[in-house]
Amino acid sequence: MTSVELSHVTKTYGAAAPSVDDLSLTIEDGEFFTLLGPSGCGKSTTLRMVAGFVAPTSGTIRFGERDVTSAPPYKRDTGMVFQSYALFPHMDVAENVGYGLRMRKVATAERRTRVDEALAVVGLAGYGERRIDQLSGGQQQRVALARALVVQPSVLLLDEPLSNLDAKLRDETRSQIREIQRKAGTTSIYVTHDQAEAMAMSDRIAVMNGGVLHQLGEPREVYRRPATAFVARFIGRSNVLPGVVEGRDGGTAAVRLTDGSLLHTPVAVDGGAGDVAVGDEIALSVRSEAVELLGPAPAAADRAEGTIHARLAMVEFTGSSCMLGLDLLDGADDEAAGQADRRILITIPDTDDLPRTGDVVALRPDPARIWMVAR
Amino acid sequence: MTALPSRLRRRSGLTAADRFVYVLALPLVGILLVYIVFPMIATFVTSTGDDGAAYADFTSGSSGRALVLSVGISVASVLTAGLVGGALAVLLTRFEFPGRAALRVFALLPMALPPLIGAMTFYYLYGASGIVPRLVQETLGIAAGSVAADGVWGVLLVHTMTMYPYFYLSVSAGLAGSDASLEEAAMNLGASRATMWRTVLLPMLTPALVSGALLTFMVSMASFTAPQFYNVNTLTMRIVASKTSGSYELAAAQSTVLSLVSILFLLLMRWYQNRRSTRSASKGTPQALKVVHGALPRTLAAVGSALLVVVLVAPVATILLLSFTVDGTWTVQILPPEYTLENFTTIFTDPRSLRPLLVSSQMSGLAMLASIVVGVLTAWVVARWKGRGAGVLDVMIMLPWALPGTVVGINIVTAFAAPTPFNLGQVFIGSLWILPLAYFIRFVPLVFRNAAASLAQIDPSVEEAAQNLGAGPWRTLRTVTLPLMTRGVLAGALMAFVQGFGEYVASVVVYPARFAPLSVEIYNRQYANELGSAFAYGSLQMLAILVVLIISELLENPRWRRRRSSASPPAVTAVPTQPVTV
Ligand SMILES: Nc1ncnc2c1ncn2[C@@H]1O[C@H](COP(=O)(O)OP(=O)(O)OP(=O)(O)O)[C@@H](O)[C@H]1O
Ligand SMILES: [Mg+2]
Repeated sequence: MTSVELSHVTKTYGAAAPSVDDLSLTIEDGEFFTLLGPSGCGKSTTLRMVAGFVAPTSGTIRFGERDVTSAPPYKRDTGMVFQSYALFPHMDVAENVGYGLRMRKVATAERRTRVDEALAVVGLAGYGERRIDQLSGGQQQRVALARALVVQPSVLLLDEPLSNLDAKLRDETRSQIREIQRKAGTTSIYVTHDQAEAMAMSDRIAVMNGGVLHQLGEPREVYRRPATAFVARFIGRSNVLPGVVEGRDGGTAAVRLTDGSLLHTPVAVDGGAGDVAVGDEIALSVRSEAVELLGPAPAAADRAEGTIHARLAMVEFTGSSCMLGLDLLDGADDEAAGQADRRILITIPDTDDLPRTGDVVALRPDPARIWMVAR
Repeated sequence: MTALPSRLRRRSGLTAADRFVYVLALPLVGILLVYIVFPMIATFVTSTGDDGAAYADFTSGSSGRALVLSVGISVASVLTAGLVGGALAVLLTRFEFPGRAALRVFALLPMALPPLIGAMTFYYLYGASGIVPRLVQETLGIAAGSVAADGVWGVLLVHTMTMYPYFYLSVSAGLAGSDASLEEAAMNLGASRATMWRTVLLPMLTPALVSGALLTFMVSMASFTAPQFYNVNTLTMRIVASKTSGSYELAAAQSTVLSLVSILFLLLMRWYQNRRSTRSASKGTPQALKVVHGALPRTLAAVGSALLVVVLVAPVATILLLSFTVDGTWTVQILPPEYTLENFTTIFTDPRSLRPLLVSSQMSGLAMLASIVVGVLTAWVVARWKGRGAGVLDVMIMLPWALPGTVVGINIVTAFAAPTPFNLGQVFIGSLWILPLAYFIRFVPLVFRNAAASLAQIDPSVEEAAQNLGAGPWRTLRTVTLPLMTRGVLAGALMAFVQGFGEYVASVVVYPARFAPLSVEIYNRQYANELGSAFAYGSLQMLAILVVLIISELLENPRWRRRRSSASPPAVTAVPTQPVTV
């Protein structure tokens, strides 16, 4: 059990742009920490630097007090679960799980009991003598987890361990992993590109894009107060609407959107988009489920503050709710601008009296749930 | 491992794994430099001695003619082997006819023929005093000499019959991968059968034909045994003659020229195969075989197949038959008149007769062990080295595969004749070590190839998993990587062993007088008209090859080897692993 500290870690392959760019973050002892981001954003590279398979171009990595930047992988005492599981095909399940103990020169008898315990923890008691190719994907995944956990590593590293499983098994296994981790109290770094998975499992999330850290925080915080337009779009379904600050009043700002509507939004005092001044060009993040459908819109001149007028373009029924796609209107008249970036998506409970496509409706984003981000 | 000062480490950006690759690469590069690259350079340097007098000799003397003859024979071999192999492939993949099953089994039989004994067999089957011409003379009254395959024709016959598998294999694979619906589409669009072949099938088979042709050409240029038997003055023959008569510079010049031609072809083949793999064909649909109909065509097909099977089995049968012949009794008869089991019992009871077997198996065994160590480690380094060095190492270890055995022999003799700094003061002339060294150089590419192929099947994150669990680099190699490679390496090593066991071409150049290896002993026995004994050795050799072929077959497709779905082609010269000695 240890904390993990990355400071100013950069990795550049050849002449390409850095895969990981000046990344600094600290993972607390016992924390379940997730690196989240789209494909190619440098999550695996970061994890592999922590494991010691990739050497940072610059920066340092510490486990607690210990600088491990140049320590080889086999001296770092991490336990890694690979995306491909990387089980040893020439060993049976028990030999796989016991491999790390053998390397640590644990006596045979103790090894056997610890392997059995580990297999029981992941629900594979009695599978010790199976060959690897006699296991299903989910079972292989759990063997990989047992193999990493049985050595009681100081840091557990998981690189998209669920991506090869089907949806149902993924949900089951994810709560299992979390439960096992919580019991063992092992500091864990989890890599995924699935934001729902990250939300559900993590104590804290680091959102990355293009090798750069965009935001670091608890799931709720990242969801409610995205630090950048990228985070707002990547996490949940968020509309990012460009606008200009027109007024400041204590903790709120008035923002004029490009379609002419005026919205009020809380301004972060604790970071977020930071302080803003009148005239600043910013964007507002509006969650799709934080928008109220008011009904048919009054004339453009009568538009109320805090509302947006838009023309309904499409309706998608998703079961418990409906997703509506609407096109923002141009300021002056009620003509739809018809540009792709003027489409906003909202999610509302399913009702029988939905407006028809083509209707112009008024929308009211919940002021408490609007968040300002940099453009 | 002590931590490097972090500033130093940062600049290098190396992980422990990278450093281990370099540490391992260093001795391997050393070994390959001393035993493969340096001997080639030594030969070249020798050839340029005396202001290049040897090259003047080369162009004015008989060497030039020998080179032309070698090239001519090689071109002809490509044509004949291509015709036989290609036709057989088309016949067996496209048509259903009586006798097809039997033909399929026997089509690859020539690959089980030991090189020296193989060439000898054709001589005793189709040569002037061979079984077939005598039979023809006896039954049809045509003079044996006029139907016998002698001289250049004999060489061509041996080449055709032993090299057509290169074409047969590549064309079969090409046809199996081609799409039958393409042909149907062409015929549907009104192309006649001949037009369809010309416009659709032949272009599609071009890669297979080119690969087969390049390989056949290389092997023909390197051929020594057949020219020796039929006394045809090819370049390989001239090299040995020059060496025997003490003109080392001329032998070196001839070797250098032959090396250049061979290496050119190796590079050509690499280039062609790399280019080809980038535009891989679509998956073929399974295709129905054309059934041959009608009583007459079916009868003809059956008779033809039977004849072909007889032709294919004849060499093997001849080897077995002759191995029971009483020495010195076969003179002018069609078939040997007297038979005995004594040839075999003598081999195992008479220490003098057993000795060549022991020499060859021990020398070849030593070479095999060295090949395993060097070949496997080099394969690993080439696979894991991220820099340019990987390609250089790959070329270095594959070089001997392109070199004719004769040239390998000359290289060793030149490089290790006297102590120099380059050979680290080692002298091997007249030493028993020279044979394992020659076998090692000739057959390490084979082990390397097999090792690289099995390494390509292993998911690299398996090694990372081991390191993550606390295994150091050596431990990881020993407990994970090597066990996973065992089967592939074993198949390659056994193949290397039987080839070393029967090696003749390089042996005849380097062997120390007191330790004649098996092949040289066979040649000597044959020369002394002790045919039965010679062929008894030969059939033991054939048996060894068969056993190895069967074991290799069994070692293929191990049940636990998982294919990586996105396996990239290994950065390794793609070459077939067939015997390369003729
Ligand atoms: N060995 C390498 N050599 C060169 N570039 C590399 C190497 N490994 C990764 N990269 C590059 O670094 C960037 C980050 O890769 P990384 O594997 O960390 O992405 P990732 O976030 O894990 O993506 P994914 O979700 O697809 O796994 C990518 O642009 C990738 O092309
Ligand atoms: Mg990744």
